[in-house]
Amino acid sequence: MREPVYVCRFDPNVMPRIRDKAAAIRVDRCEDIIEAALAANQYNVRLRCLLVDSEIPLANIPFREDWSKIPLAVYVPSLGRFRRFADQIEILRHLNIRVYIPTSSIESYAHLRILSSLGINTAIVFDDGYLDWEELNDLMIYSVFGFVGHSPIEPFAFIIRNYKITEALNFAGVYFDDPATFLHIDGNGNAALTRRKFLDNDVFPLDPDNPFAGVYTRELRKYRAAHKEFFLKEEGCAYCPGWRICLGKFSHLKEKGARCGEFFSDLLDAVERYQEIQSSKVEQWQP
Amino acid sequence: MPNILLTYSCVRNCPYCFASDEKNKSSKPKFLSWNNLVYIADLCSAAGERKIQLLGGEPTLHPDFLDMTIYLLERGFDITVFTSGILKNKALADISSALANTPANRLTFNCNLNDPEQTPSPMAEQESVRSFLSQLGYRTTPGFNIYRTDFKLEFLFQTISEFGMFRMIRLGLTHPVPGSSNSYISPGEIPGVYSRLCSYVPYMERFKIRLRFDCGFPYCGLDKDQLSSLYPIVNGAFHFNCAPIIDIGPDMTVWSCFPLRNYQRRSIFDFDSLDQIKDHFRKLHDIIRVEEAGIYEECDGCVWREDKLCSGGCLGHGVKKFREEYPLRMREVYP
Repeated sequence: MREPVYVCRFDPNVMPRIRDKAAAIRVDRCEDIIEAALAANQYNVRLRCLLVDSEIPLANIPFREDWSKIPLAVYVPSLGRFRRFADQIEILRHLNIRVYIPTSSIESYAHLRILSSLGINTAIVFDDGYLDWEELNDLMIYSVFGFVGHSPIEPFAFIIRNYKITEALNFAGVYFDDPATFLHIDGNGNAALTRRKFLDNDVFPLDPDNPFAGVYTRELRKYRAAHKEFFLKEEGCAYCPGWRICLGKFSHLKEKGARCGEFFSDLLDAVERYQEIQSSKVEQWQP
Repeated sequence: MPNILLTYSCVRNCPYCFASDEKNKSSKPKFLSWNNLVYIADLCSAAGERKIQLLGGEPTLHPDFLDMTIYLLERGFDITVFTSGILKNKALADISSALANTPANRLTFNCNLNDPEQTPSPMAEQESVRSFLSQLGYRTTPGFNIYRTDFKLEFLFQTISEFGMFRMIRLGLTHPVPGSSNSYISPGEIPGVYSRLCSYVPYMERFKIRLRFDCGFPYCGLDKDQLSSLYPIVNGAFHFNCAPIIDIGPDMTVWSCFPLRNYQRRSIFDFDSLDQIKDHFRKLHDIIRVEEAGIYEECDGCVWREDKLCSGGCLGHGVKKFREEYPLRMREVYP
């Protein structure tokens, strides 16, 4: 088994635990970015990225050119006023950044499209409280088939890149939440397979220097077998063709009549169409 | 260079307005959405267009006008905004400060000015236009639409000098909008318009002001003397063309140009590219020209038209005729 990438807060107690390991470190404020990056360097952490949980809109974040070497995943509530954001675009284009925007309002879909069209990597954060499947579908079509070059919109780009009909693909990895890759830990020796479980304190003890010795292996095996539950009932996701991509992430919404099945089926069609186009391209010989 | 209509709403009621009935249709989306703006920007970008014109109604009435303008500038487009110049103080202050550092060649305004005597407007509107010009006049071209034969241009010369505007007047000839009741210049009145225009040539020479003809002016209304006197005023660039401009409405419908706004309108999503849209409307123009060569009887077989020196005036006149007569022409020309 491959050693997990640890997801943790920027905390003096945690840093020694991730020494020499791969990690994504969470900070609450942009002001902590440099400090966290320096600490990661000091502990020889293979930094996947810094996760910034910002409470202020993207336009209001004072981006700095000296963040250019730091991989950043910035979660913001919204884009904010475009005219204010415009001053930041040039700096942002030079940063190694992905902007995460929740679907909490109808404007978010436009914000994601605007950012992508301006060459800034983005990701959709699915907000259960507000999900407009039609808007999502439009955004997906734009992401996959947009006729002008634009930056990737995740998780669509991830799915397009990695989907294989013979293998399961969990796009939760885009959100550092795929247990096969990421493991959430704290400074007290606890770990959880997902962020949700971590926040709910559904944790187990873990020694990062010997992760596979304890409960982790069993939890992971349990997680990997969990998908079978979807097929025990003759309803919900059992017959949904889109399940191959969503892996049941929206089953709780489907019961409330969400049109997730149609959306993921369309996404699947788009993936197949995209891959068909790619495979039909003749690779030009090179001297 | 396509025209994007950010909204149909307008603050003025010009008698010649090409879009007056559009303003009152409540069923259509009032403002262009961001998603649609990105779509249009992509379409223009893919077609290699580098210039976009923002129109209305009054485009500055769009609540995101400033943000959308900045977005298009960021996308690399040069923008011309067609405005009445009637803006709220706050909006004007925001626009002036946010766009102060934008190079003047990347963002220009075209302010449609009406003669305060012949087309009177409330004092507050006139004051608003003056405020606009005092702040943004340095990047503004004056526009004037001729809708009566006794038009006057004196006020323009004064305004241009007072506010340091571009010394170039975009001159529009008003045309009929089939299905609408706007005021316009009839073909028979055009020679009179040219005569009056030429009477202003000495003033334009004196004030070093140039003219740019908008579309739909016919060549044959000008005699040789008038042509030679106007030649330096238009910098030798006479335009007697009528071709699809491509207007895109806030509801994502497209049409050939404002006079043909109500004629064979389509959804932008029916097409895959801007070139396809242009081709479609170019063919439509050609079909109409087969049935109605131009605004005068003489246009049919005219050597200037065959040499493509002149298009035969605005197609709006022909289409207006189709609508009003018994349908005996090619099926394709009817709406």
